[in-house]
Amino acid sequence: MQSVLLDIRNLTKSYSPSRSLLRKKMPRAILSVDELSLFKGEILALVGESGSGKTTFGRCLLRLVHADSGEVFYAGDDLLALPMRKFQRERRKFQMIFQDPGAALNPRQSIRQAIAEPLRVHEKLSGLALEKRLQHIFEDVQLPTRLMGRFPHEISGGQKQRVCIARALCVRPELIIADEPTANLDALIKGQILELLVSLQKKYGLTVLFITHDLFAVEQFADRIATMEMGKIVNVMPKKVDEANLNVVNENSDGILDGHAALAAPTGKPGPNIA
Amino acid sequence: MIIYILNRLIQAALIVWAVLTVTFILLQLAPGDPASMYIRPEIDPAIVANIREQLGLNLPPFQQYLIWLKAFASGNFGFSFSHLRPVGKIFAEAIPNTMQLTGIVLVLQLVGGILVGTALTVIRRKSVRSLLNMSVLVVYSAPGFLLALIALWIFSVKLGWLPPSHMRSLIVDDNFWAILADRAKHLILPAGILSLPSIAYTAKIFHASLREALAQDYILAARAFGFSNRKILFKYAMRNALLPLLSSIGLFLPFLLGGTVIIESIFAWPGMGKITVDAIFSHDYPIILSTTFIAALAVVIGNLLADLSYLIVDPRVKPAYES
Repeated sequence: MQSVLLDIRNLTKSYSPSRSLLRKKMPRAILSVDELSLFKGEILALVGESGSGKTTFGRCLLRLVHADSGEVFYAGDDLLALPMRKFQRERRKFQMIFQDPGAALNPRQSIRQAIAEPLRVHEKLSGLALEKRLQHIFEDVQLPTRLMGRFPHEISGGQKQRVCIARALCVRPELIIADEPTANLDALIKGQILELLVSLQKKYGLTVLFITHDLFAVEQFADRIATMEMGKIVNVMPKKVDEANLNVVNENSDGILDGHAALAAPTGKPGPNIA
Repeated sequence: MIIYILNRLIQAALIVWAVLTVTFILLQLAPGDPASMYIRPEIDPAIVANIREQLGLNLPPFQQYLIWLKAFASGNFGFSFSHLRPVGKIFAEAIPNTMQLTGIVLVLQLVGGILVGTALTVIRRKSVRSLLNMSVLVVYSAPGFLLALIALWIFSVKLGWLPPSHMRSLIVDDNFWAILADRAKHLILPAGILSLPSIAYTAKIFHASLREALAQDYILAARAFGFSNRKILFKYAMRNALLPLLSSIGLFLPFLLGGTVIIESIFAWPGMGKITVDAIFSHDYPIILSTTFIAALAVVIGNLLADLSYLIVDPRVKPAYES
């Protein structure tokens, strides 16, 4: 499984606050990732405090936010340096799932339109082929097809997130960046969505960058865990979270996983969902 | 739905009644009355008193109010003191003229506002964008009469391209195209000046709601699919940004009507605005009350239509009145 999908080098991003009359503001570095590789078919969890740059990191990879410098190698090409026209064609391979499924769906588009549009653009599907494909996708995310004609405001939060997953998967991507996909859902639905995501990941051999606060989910599903702090990746550790590794994390990361350690250590079992 | 509309109509009637009552009281408080127009040294005070009695102005205010309300409710708008004609007939001529003007202004406002608002959002070069933004602010804050006078001076006085006033020329060739061209020429200045601040205002609103729409996650999702910028702008952002604009069309009406009062007076456009101003100067109570009535009605109905249009266009609004 160790073939590399994405190789990230020296990725930096800083925001320069708008000039102010009263004082000079310096650009504030919010992202500076020296090196990180994403392996094919793995779930890499990216954890870190709010504002540590996780979301910006994810968006920089997809060029949804313009990175200041750095390289992101995919199959020998630097994605950040590709001409936009060429990169647009590659975009299908890298999809995103958002924190708030309500905001991630266009309120003026029915569920069918939302999923059919990328299929039309990228796979030139129409008519019966499109219909078959939609059926198939709805089966994949376990949604009844009768919801197809509905609008986002007419379905529940969990269903919306399933639609978002369906929309991301419909173009057969290789990488999914899931940006806190369960943060806005209640505990029961959260579990279902995570299980769905992982089962689809296995089924299609997807690589997932799983940005989250939910340490229970990290423990359950991640193959590796990267910790981000002030825009830097301070630690990457393998799946097996044993005492020794936790201690390493605690030293390096100023206690981002402390809560996890406290909950998980005494019983040896996953702690309750604390996110 | 029907109960909702009925409910709103009853509310509307109450509002219109309240506006009329307040206007009536204000008229009573204002110094002078229609008969005072006749007071000149050479006119016998007895004649003025006689006029006052004929017009019912000698009655106590509350009794005047009741008589007027009764007539008004039965559709009798009264008889104009200054025009010496029934108010209904005067309005039948003036309302189409005003609607012609405001209708064109409304179209210009929406088309121009959306274009300028979009330009404010998509133009990349900061210097051009700032310049446009500044012009929008200047036009929005400049008083309409000032713009009108400047435009008159340039286009009618200096260049002589456009007629300075009225709806049509006295002598026109008797063929359809000549008449149409003549009418259009007379429309350009008043409609242009009246729509400029509205375009600026609409552009501001649309710019704000377009920016808000563009900041949504569904735009990011669309970009992640590699959709073209044009598709994202038109299909995703603009369609969502149009909703707030649509609902505010009804709210534009008071500004438009307020604008026509000034613009029609300056360009001698024989519409409701000009009639209102003339009526105020001559204390023509029936006309003042009736124009107030029409204006209040237009505003209330505009609001109602705005709310109803929301119900039709945005499916998310429905539960609001059902619950």
